[in-house]
Amino acid sequence: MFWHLYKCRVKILLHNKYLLFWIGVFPILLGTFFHMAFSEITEKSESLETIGVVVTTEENNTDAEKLTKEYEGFYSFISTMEEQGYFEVSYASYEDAMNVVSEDEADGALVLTKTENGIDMSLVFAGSGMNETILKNMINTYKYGEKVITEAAMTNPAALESVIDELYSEVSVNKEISLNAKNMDIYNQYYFALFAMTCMFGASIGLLNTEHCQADQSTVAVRRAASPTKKMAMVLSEYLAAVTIMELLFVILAAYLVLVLGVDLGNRYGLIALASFVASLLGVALGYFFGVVIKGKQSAKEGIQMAVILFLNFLAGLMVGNMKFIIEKACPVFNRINPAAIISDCFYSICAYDDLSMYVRCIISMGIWTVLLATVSIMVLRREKYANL
Amino acid sequence: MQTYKAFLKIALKNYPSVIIYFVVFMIVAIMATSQGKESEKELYKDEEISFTVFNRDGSALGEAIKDYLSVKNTYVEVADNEEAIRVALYYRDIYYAVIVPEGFEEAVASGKDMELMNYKVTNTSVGYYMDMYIENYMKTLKSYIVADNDMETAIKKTLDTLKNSVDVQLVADINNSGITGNPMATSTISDDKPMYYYFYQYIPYIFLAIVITGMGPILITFGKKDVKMRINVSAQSFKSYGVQMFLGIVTFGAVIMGIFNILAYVLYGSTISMTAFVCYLILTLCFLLVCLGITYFAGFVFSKSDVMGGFANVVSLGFSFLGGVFVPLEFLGSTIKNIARLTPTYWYIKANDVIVGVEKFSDLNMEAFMKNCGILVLYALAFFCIGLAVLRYKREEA
Repeated sequence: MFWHLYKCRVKILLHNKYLLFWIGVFPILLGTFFHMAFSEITEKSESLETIGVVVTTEENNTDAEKLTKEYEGFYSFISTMEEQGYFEVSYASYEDAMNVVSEDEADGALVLTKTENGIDMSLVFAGSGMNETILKNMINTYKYGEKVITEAAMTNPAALESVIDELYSEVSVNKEISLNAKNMDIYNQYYFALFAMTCMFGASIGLLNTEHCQADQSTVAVRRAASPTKKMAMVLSEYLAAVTIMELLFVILAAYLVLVLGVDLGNRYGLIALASFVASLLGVALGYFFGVVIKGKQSAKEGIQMAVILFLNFLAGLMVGNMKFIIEKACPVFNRINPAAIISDCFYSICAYDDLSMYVRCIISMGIWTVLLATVSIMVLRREKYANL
Repeated sequence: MQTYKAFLKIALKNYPSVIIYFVVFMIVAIMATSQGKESEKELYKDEEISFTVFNRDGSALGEAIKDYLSVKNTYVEVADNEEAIRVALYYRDIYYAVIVPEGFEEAVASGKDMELMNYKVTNTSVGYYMDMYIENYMKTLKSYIVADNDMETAIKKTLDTLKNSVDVQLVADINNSGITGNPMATSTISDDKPMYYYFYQYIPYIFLAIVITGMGPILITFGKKDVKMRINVSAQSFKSYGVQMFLGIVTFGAVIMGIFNILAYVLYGSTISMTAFVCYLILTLCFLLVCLGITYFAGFVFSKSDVMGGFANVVSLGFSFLGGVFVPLEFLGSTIKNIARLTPTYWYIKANDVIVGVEKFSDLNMEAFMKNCGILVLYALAFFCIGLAVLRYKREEA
């Protein structure tokens, strides 16, 4: 009987177009939108680009390139930067250089001015930005070196050679420590929040199941209440059927993200599958909880449930990516108990960390939530008696 | 005016879903407008990078490095453990963490090579910049030390040297009549856009969501077979019915336009010029026509309110993600940007870029503004025409 009920329930759910759209199709569409919007944003906003520099001079009838070559030290600095791929250097007259910068064809103009001691330089930008900041700092590097050498030549000529060696030594002063973190792309956070939303939308199936087993909610439930089938077998088989559908839809979503959109979720698919299974158990249990605890019309239950789920997902970063972090700083306890944050943290830990301590903590938290919600739901369902049907 | 009254009654019945969208919009818009600046004059400034320093050496040099980095960047307190650093880096609370290892000052003073350790988001321009920034400091400091200065003097001299930065000017500030480039270019490059820009940037999302969810069910109700047959046998002429429906749509649109534009004026009236506000009135009207066109077409295609709700979400989110509402157009890939040109939101955002910062009509790039608004009107007409075609097809089928 258990498996018969299970099969029937799976069929019923597979025929419910409304649920399949919101739990199956909508997350896929939202994932596609995320991909369209965020796929190149990290590369465009954070990666190191070659900086376009147009070298010019305000001196009349002076060629900027010729002037640059007159000063060996500066010319070698510019050439090294170009060879190493940091600069893309061009030369232009003052007027043309200003136009190039204002039209955003180069990041900045380096204006050279002849002085008694050599050349002075200044920069012209169209606005502020990372490339401009880096360019300014690179030019400063040259200026600082020049100043230190001049000062040493004047105050301590004996140490001049050591100073020059120190300034241009190849010995590195910085060493990066690997974080053992795999994927640090912040926009992946949206996909984890999307997983959390999908799993929590499983509550809609749970809510539908309660509608079909509470005799004061639907005529189907009245007929079923009058049948000799054990209530526990009915509830458990339907719960399992709901989780099966959820798992199926989750696999389709994850496969679409990885295979079609090329989202990097790592290769620990076993852990992802376990996480999605436990998250689905939690999502469906949440629907049962809303279905039995809130009294009233089905539409009211749906409305309240959806508002709660979307609010929890908002706080877990579905709409504003760093919301979870803002809460982590203000009230970290809330992130430990918000089911949406726990689910998204769980997927984040699989993709970003090698060690599993955070993953295990999230799985246990989801388990506790599921047991809690399911226990309350079963207790309320068991007590329900109808004076007449 | 029975039809008109019925139209308004159904509209009022749908208010809960409309209010939900309104609240969502207000949260998103207020969060987004907080990015806006009210600065009057734009000046060049270096990017401020958030960082942290763990002075495990406990030395004066460690503190000096922290002070030097803090001059132009933002110091953020983070717990000294890998988990906390990893979380802070992931959420970009910090971009760089410097660790001054034990015995660092002693090693530097005695001329030994010892590295500063760092955690960073790898392969980013910010990571590279901070490496370079620290390298400048350390190399200058070490140079002073090999020139026989003690640590304290070397730190002082290093700070003095690094204060002398190259002069920077903005191209817009250079008073040179020979420059023929677009002086407005800085306003599109700079992030310092006024708050109202961000408010109006989110308008397409909310207009699409509210108009489709609010008006879609009304059209569906009037499109129901029984209701249509009842209207057909009533004494009301078809012309009167059409006029009242049109009035209903105009009222609905006017209310939506009124609420959001008044809200914009109340919130940002002090920073927005009257010219820009008038342009926004024209632009929002054009976009509202697009929304009404889409709803008109969807009203004939779909017959259930549930389906209309799904359609509203997909269209509003889809157009917003694609068209540059949620993510600025410059961050979209080239293929996506080409696809984005097919969405009306893209042209709305283009027009928003044209309006921002306009003080008087002579400042406005009228050609670009009219072109973008014209395209929006054409979109509206196209959707109305498709709607009519669907209506005709359905009638023939019936």
